[in-house]
Amino acid sequence: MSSVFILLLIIGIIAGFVMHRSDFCVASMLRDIFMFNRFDTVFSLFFLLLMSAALYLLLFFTGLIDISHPWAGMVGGRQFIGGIIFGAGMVLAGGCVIGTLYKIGSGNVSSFFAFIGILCGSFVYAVIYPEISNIAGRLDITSSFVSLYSLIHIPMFYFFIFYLVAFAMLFFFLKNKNKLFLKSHVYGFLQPFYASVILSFCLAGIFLITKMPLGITSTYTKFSAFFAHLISSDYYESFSYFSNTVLNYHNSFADSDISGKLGYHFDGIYLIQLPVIIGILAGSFFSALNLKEFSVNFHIPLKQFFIAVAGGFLMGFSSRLAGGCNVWYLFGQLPLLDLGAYLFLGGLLPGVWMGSKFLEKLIVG
Amino acid sequence: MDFENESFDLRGQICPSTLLTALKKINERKTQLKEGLILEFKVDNRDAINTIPESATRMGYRFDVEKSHGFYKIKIYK
Repeated sequence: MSSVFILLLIIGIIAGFVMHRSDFCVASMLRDIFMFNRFDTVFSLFFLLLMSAALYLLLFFTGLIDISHPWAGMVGGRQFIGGIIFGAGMVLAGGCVIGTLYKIGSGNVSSFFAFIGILCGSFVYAVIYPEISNIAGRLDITSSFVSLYSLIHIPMFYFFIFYLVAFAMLFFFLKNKNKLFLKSHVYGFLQPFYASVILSFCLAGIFLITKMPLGITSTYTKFSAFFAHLISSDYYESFSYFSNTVLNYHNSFADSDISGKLGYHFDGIYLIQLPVIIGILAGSFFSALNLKEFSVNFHIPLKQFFIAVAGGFLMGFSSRLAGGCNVWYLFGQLPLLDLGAYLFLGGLLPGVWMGSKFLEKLIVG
Repeated sequence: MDFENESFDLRGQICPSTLLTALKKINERKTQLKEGLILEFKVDNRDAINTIPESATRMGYRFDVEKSHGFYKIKIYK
């Protein structure tokens, strides 16, 4: 088990370092399309998705992972509505659930407050869980995993070839247009194209070790459970949400059963998510320190503190509602052609648009 | 006309706010910039260190980027 923790920690450190050097921020990639008509950074997200999808299939073909989704939850309106709220939230927070992490690692105070907002949002969801669960349940379509792979009868190998060809075509298209590499004035800049390839290998590595796609926000919920427990254990026990078992499977890599609840106790969720979280923080911290760019600055307009906390709150709340965040759905489920991921993405884009317009009004007036 | 250069500290701000605030300051001082004003922004957001000069160039301004202790100084001028 300790080898699982250490390997995931190493992957997390690499990911954090790479994200800081390349400023690999999903929130800004999507937001800049709507806010500044800027499309050049979103291509690295396409590279990441195509390469991840190809690597997942390669691991599946070799029998190293299973993509039949024993971890699938309810799918329906909750992903679409959650996606809208999450999209707006990550724009306001200035980063998604891992963008926030690598920014905290480099000393960004606003991102730290966004993180506090995520914990608060997760906690509020736990408080109103019975009511909201009933409402969201009315919009559910299915409780089984639905993937395009199983709906259309095309051999998966052709999908694998398609991902590689699409990756190559996008590469040569951007190279010919001289848009593959971005101009930069910062020291130690890593081109987002290279970052996307390295990060896709990190994601595949995490899938290989944990036998499931990367998840982050269940651990954030456990953090919020921990704080609720600190306030009062009776208060904590009154929330049924924290006793929900969300993970229960056999991990063939560690050859052991892994299970986890959303409560504060150390269990399987912490085992597979916490090392990645710590790693991203540490990797980004090392990178910033190495560049002599680590700085903590509290002289920030008060309005921005509130915007960051509100953005984080929306992300924390919506990721619980949707059963996952952008990392889970975009980096994990979308490459597996999951219906829930399409619904989340369908909500995420209008959410990002709304968040962009709202933030522009707040800052510029 | 001689102007005293203006400096703004945008360190620690959330991601797009750094760029939006810088652009707002540039737009508010269009006339003075034409007459020789130099605006200096202190920035620690790596994304904005690239996007502020890029946007200023599109608006017809020139720029200098200089690394300092834990942040970058971006000078915008005509």
